Amino acid sequence: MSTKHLLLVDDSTDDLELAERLIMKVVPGVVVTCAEDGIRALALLHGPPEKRLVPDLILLDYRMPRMDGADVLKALRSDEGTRHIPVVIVSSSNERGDLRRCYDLGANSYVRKPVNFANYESALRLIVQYWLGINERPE
Amino acid sequence: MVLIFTTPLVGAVIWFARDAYQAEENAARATLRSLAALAADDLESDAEGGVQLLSGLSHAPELRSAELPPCSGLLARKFAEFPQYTGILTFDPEGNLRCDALGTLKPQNFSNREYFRRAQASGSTVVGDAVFGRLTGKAVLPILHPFRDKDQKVEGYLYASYDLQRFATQLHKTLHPTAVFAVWGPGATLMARYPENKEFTGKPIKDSGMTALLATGGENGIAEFPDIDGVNRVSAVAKVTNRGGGTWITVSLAKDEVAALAHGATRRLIYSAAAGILLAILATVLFAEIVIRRPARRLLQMARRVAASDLSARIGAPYPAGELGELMRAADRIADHAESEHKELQLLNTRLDQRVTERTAELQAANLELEAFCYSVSHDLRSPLRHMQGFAEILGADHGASLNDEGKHCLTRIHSATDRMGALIDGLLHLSRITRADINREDVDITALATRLLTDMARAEPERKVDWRVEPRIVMRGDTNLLDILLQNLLSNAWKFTAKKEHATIEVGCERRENEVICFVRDNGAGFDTAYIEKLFKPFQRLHMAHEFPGTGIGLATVQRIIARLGGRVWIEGQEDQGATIYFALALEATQARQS
Repeated sequence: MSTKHLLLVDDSTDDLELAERLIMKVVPGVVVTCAEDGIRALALLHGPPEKRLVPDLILLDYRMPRMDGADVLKALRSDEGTRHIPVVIVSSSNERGDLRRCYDLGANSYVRKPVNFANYESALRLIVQYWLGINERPE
Repeated sequence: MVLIFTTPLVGAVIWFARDAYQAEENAARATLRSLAALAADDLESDAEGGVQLLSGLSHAPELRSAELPPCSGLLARKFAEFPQYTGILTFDPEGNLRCDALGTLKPQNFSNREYFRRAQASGSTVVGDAVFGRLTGKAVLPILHPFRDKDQKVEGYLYASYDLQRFATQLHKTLHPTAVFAVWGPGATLMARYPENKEFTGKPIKDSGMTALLATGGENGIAEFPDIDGVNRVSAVAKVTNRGGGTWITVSLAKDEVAALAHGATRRLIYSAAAGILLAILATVLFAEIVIRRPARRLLQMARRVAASDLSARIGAPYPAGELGELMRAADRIADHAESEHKELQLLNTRLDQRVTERTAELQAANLELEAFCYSVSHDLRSPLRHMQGFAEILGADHGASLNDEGKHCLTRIHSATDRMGALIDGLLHLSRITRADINREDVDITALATRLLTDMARAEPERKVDWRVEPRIVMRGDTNLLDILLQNLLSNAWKFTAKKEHATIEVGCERRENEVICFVRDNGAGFDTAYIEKLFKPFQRLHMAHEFPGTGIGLATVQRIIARLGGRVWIEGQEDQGATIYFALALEATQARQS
């Protein structure tokens, strides 16, 4: 199994750190890159070809300053190099409009950040395992 | 309108004309009678004039002269002076002609004449009956005046014969141009007539209307009969009465002339009245057109435009004088007021619209703010909470070995506090969502909702033994989503507060009232202290300790918010440890209307 590469985009450094720790625990050997907003994320993804990051999965926060998740999604889906990368929106928003918009723009999944950390942890685990194709076999 | 005014007028004229017609005929007859009286008066005063003349002459010495020429000369002068006499003469006391104005020398005796005998007998002045003069043959009225000597002995008589034919002609000239004037002597003898009638002059008229008329003695006599010439006439008679003479004067007018006179006058009256009425009608129409109809039309046009909401309509100057003008002026003033008030109202409305728009915008802005606030609550409060949980979790998992029991206890407390805060935040967001949710009015099957919810609860906690009942066929008019949330809150409360009962019962039922359906959820759970009943529906108010019955204090507040949005009522009954019953009522009419 080749090394999996994962990009986290979230304006909350707390969330980034918690998510990074959790994912590292769930998928040993995964390379996690963090971007604190959409602009930095696109800089990594649409940068010069030799430095360009091509992750296996992007976890994208929806509500972010300057450039929100929808704008990033639009940019990703209109670029040949990033069109195929699975994007899971991870948002605190419970607005139906946000959900519909994200799916319309080409999100592969939409996950509401649970209030409870335990729920958040299990949700994140399931997402990563599913999208990185490392589901555990049933015992 | 003109007819209304003129019809009575025409009627009055016709009535008046008929009356006038009669009156005119009467007047014509009266005129005829007064003509006769006038003629008689004329003759009397002429006769009196003769008496005066003779009386004046009676002192003249020429009468007593032994010679005739002085006497004849005097009389001739007088005769020339007064042409109304056919002769002026003197008689001696025996009636023999003495001297004559015409110088007649033929001996004549007049003593057999009626007038002479009367004068001889009375010794005074006499106007005799009309006779035909012996010398001239003309019809005359004889006037005889005795003249006396110093001893008052009659020396002789002065005599003047008044010309009746001339008199009749004179009457024609002075009194009436077409009437027939006739002078009659004793025995209905025609003496003189104008126009002259030689055939009958000097002859008595027999068996005719005239004899009958003359026989009345001339006392206001008037009659209609064929005259001597055969023409039908109306004749009036008057008697000349002075000094005992017997003379009658008739004035006759052809019947159609009398009628023409009368009817002519009446016709003239009718014509003039008709012309007057016509003029009056024309004047009225013209007057009405100018003074009433034209202004009224202007008023009407203006009134129609105003009625059609054209408040700028005005009659405008010139206003006619009088009440109509006042009315028009007043109408314009009313329109002025109406227009200015309408404009003011429009202005107010515009301002009101502006304010409504502004307020709506403000409200929308406030709503957006609220949504933004809710989002930031959900996002900004929830996220740190999760981080706290996350790091506490990592602390416990990765460094739990280095913590003592108290450290582990603190971690547990952090966990439960963050859990609780998360629930509070979710409840608050839930409440705000209810406030913002759109309402779909529909018939909601309360029985089905409650049954499903209770079944789910029983399935989730199979260890609980709850005896629950839901009345069948409860239908309320409301919003399915909101009523679902409402029931979820009420039933989970009931479920929660009966947790400590050995035989828990939950009942959902309803009462159908005249205007509404009252639904209730009853349990035999912990109930509540009625002293705090006011606080029950306020958010975050709890009457039980969290460790007894966990909860956020949001449930009943949510219930009340939902019922308020649906326009219903909600209230609670209960006692501590006696269970609680929550009632909620929604209008029934719409429900029935929908069902029927």
